[in-house]
Amino acid sequence: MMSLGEFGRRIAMLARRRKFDREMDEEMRWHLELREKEQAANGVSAKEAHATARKNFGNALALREASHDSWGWAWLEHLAQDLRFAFRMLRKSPGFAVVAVLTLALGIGANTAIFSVVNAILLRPLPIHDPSRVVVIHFNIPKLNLFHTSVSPPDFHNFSKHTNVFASTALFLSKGVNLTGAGQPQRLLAMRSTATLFPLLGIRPILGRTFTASEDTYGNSHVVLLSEGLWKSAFGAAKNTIGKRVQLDNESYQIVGVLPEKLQILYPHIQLWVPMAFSPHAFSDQEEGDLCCMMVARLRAGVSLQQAQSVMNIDAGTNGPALRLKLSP
Amino acid sequence: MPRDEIPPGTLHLLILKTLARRGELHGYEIARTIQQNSEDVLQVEEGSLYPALQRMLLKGWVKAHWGTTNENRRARFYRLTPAGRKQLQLEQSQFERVVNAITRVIQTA
Repeated sequence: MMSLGEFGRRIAMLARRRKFDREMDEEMRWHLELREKEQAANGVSAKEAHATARKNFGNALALREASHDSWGWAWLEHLAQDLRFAFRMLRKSPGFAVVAVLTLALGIGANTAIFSVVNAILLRPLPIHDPSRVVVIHFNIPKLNLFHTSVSPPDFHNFSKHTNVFASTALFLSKGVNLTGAGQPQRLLAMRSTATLFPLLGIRPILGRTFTASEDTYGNSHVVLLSEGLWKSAFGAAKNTIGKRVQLDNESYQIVGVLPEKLQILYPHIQLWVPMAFSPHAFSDQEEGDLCCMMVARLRAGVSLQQAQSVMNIDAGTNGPALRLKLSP
Repeated sequence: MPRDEIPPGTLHLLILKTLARRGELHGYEIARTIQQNSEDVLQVEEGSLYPALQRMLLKGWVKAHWGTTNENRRARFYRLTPAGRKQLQLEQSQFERVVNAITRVIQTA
């Protein structure tokens, strides 16, 4: 077993091995000189003295190697030699080198890409409660070659009436906002969402609360939730952040809660959340075709995806455009 | 006078003993001392002394520092450490045990 002191000395040797080599060379050279002198004093010719001294001394290079071995870094020096040799060989045949490097690069790249996907989809679980019951609702309009479109507020309103299949529904869309009143002004991505979204997903705030139903109505909606990241960067993770006011696009909003970091898995880049608070004309006829928003719903207990789909298909018949539930959490 | 190679594994012992007796020595003096004390019978392959000294430095049995000799020449001097003294006792008693055993075998034969 190697002692700590010995390990330290090994490291020191590795760091200064040129000095060690020089010093040992110096010792050995001097040793040879002394021997030669001694022999010469005994009346041996200079040439013979030189030869005898060398013969008795042994092979200096081999000895130096033996010394290196004893320091325990031989493997490292051999590795360095091998690497230098490999490098020279690659330099000699650049075509082969390019192929080798490309092969490695593509291999590593492909692995990284696949792992990223596997990590996101399989390894990192969705941060929501019972995700298998949550569905995303899209339109498919083959006539217009439109698939997986968003939905409009009036559609959301109609679909949400199917309370026999949906336990709850939520609608949201992102928009850029200018945040001022919290350090440096920032251009951030905000999400407008119905108050139902957080209970639907089972997301609890880490501080404060989420939106109330009354805050999700037109004219009462000047409240905002922060992402955990923004709370830390702009407010130093202060507990008294709740109740403070910030300006979003020059309108004053009160901070009511902070959402957990894990929500970023679902909605990366979103730093702020404000209530959807539909305006009265959001449901007017001319807004009918505005496929602005993402809709999610939680299926009622016992309702299968197929059942929900068939109910929606019937609805689609009356509404005109072909429509399909699409599960894609 | 014919010279004999030192038995394998005893170089450390010889160096340790020499340093224990003579205090601070440089490499050449160690080689000379071993040779003289053995009345010129033992022949250290002199070069192998230096790797051996390095190993002993590593083990912490000896300490080394650069100084100047009487002839005003730069040299590395080696000195025993307490750990080296312990090692010397260990190797010496081990060596004596082995030699006694071998002697007994040879004499009974």
